[in-house]
Amino acid sequence: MIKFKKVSYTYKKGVHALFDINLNIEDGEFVYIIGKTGSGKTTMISLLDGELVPSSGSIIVSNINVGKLKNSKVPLYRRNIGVVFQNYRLLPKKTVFENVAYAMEVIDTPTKKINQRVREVLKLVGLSDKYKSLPGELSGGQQQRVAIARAIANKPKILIADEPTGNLDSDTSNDIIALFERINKEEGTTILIVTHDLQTVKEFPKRTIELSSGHIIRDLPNGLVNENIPKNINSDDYFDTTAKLYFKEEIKKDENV
Amino acid sequence: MFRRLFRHIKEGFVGVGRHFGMAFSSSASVTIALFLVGLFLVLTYNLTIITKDIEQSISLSALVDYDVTGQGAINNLEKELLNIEGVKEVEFRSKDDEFTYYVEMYPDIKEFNEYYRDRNPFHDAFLVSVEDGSMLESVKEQVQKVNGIDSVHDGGSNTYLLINILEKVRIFGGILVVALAVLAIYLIYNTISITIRARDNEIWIMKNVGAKNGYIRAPFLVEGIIIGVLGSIVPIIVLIIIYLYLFNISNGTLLGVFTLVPPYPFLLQLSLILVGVGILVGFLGSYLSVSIQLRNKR
Repeated sequence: MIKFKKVSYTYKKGVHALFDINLNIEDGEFVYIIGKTGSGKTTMISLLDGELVPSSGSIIVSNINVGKLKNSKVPLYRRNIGVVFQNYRLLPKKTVFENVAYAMEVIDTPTKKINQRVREVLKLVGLSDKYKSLPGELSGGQQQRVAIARAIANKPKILIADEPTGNLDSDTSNDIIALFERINKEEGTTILIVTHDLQTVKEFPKRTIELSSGHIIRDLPNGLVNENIPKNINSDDYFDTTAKLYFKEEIKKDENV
Repeated sequence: MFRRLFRHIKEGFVGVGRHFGMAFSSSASVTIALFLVGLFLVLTYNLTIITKDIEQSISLSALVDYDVTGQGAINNLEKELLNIEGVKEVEFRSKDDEFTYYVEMYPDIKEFNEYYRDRNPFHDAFLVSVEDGSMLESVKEQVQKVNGIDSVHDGGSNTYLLINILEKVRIFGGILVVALAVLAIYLIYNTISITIRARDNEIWIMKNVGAKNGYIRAPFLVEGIIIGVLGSIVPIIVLIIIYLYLFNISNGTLLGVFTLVPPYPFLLQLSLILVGVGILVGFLGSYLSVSIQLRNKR
């Protein structure tokens, strides 16, 4: 379980990125985190990943207080979290197999186990026949699949994907999200996808948490996504509208108090 | 444990191969620095040996007062001289010995010698040798104060000057060797930093999948060591060739006077030192640059 308790984060230069975030995500959930650029999405996953330490509040992941972890314990914690990025971040001089195996090698997994697991995850992401290829020889979608295979190689409990479809066309994006769904079902991994692509969210509706200026302004359960997000709306227009509504309400609440 | 060590070593070699250009430029900078380190080591060591030679060949001649006579008085004087701090040996030479020596040295002035045979003008003397050339001056002062010593003679102020100059050159050479080693570390640090910055993706991935800092650092340290060792090969070969050539054409002497250090085992020791310095600068250079990179992400 992931628990954010009144989490705030302010960058060293004084930029307030998150304010009093309260959030519960159950094991095995599939959640989107949406919002405009600068809304605090990346800060949120950096806090969850242990890279940043909350300025106040606490983040509890499987009974571990992430902000209180000693630096030397962060790597061990991180082995429970897989991360996928928009730009894949593959090693260009290593083959597909080596890229995936690398994640297991660096945490000292025996070679036999590596060979077995890499084959397994490459099959899961549909790249069994590409194991000898170099990243440069693959399409964007295939490269993202390699990055996903690498992220799940160590069987993390949580998989975070930061704009995983940002560089892909809509068909490929759908394939990738479908793959995340499969991993969620087959491996029981908790999935957190950070995106501002509303079409994907509508196509594969899941619990959707919306951030704006460091606040959670909406937390839509799976069933309410489609009725709350209009069809074919421009993402930025949507985010602006929801933010206006939310902050108007907040101001009203403050005035009533 | 061994599997991990083997993996780090393998990764280190693979890293050098994959980033050959960077590894080559790092090695080249180490080569230049180590060549200079080696050159100054050769000079400094030879100067040390030459200075020691000069110091050992210097002894003081302490002339005994004419009125000190008799074996007992001479023995007492010898004991007193031996008690002075820094005195290694004392050798007594009677005035007759001195006269005979003089006569043998200048056989041409026979008449003059005959005239003085019964009026020997020489003093009894002690040849005082010191433990260390740097103590020569203080020993001389002490000997002069001893009762029964008329005067003390040495090689003159030029000897002191030479010893002082050689001493300073030696110290300067030593400082230069250390400074050059630091420079080598800086050079390798810079080049490896560039290499590592180009590979921050790799470090980032390792961090993200939960590799510990020690694990991330290890292959880079192996690479640094390989670069250091590669960088020491050329300076070793060049210095050996130059030294052997100079040693042979000069018949092992400097200006025909001072003996140069024989090539064996000196050149072997020099080679080992240079490889050692290469390993050290490679290790430190990579350690510093990886540590800075690792500090960027918790």
